[in-house]
Amino acid sequence: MRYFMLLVLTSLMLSGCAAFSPEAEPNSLDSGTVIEPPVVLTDFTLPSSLGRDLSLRELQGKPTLLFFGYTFCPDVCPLTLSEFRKVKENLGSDGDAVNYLFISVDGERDTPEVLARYVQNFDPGFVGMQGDEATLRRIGKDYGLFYQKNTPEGTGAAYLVDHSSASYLLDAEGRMRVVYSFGTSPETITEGVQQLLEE
Amino acid sequence: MRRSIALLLWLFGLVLAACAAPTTTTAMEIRDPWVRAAVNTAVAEDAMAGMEHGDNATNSESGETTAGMNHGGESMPAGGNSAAYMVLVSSGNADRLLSASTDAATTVEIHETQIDDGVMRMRPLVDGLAIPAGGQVELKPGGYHIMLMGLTGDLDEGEQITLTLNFEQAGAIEVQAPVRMP
Repeated sequence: MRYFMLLVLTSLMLSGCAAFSPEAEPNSLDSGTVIEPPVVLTDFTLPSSLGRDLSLRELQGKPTLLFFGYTFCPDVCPLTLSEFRKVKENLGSDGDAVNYLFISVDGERDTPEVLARYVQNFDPGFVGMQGDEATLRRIGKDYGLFYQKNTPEGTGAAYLVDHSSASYLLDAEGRMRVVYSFGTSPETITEGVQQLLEE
Repeated sequence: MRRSIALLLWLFGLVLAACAAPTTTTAMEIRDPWVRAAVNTAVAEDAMAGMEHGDNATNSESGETTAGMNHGGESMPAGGNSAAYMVLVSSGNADRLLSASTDAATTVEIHETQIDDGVMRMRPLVDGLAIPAGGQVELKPGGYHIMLMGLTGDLDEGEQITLTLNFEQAGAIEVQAPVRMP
């Protein structure tokens, strides 16, 4: 978390500097938190909704929109995936030039089969990955990922999971470029993706 | 001009509400109810027929793909979940939404989503959801919602479910909530 704050602060400061430099052009990526310089992400391999193990490296070649969540999540996760769906719609024919990835922080419940049914309900092209404790811990610091299981009083659910609610935009080289907080409009995210597609 | 008409209408409404107040002190109006479209994630009836027979189900049909589904033996409501949203408007006294039920889900709870420092937390409202006298409370994505756990079937766009809301004062109120993609 601290590392993430540092990243955010650094990128904020950097974008502050950029604003004063004369050659800086209005940058639509500014509407998220632009990670400058881009963060090279740790590669990882997890079971996926495609019915096989999938690695982050395999997704290179296209920008990737990434969200960490869990299928038991009542509204933040499905809303984010709905926004991804709108981004894909907004992109029109470029919609397929992007990977849409949902990584579960609840590998216990979210098997590849459950994930397949869940993500494909939003779009047949969306991909889900079954996170596990060791992998998430290893890669989590890249994303400032926080998640914690708990069973609060008054629920019939076996457990709920508190988790980070940001979405991440990765470039075609698999580097983190922009972080969007929950509630960012699909239009803003679309602009960010388009910018990467034009690079 | 339009504004003054609107103002007049509003005033008229206020007067009416004021008149109504002494007689129907528990009036509760439910506006714009809707339910999020969702799939019954855990049960693909044919493919996972073995699942529903307990933790030690022998996977008679091709054990390999379904074996992973049973581990843990969680007593969770199977079948994915959804959430219902609406605006609760009280034209009378303060009231409290205590519980809700529907045939569309095995478990229904009133929850609040909180986002602190970028972290999403979901908490059941054990004392229910208070609606102030003459005020309103909005249940919306990222905030209060009625959580439907263990869907009994898929909730497809265009369908409608019946929800029964139980209020401390107003009693049970039934609403028809259309299924929508957010």
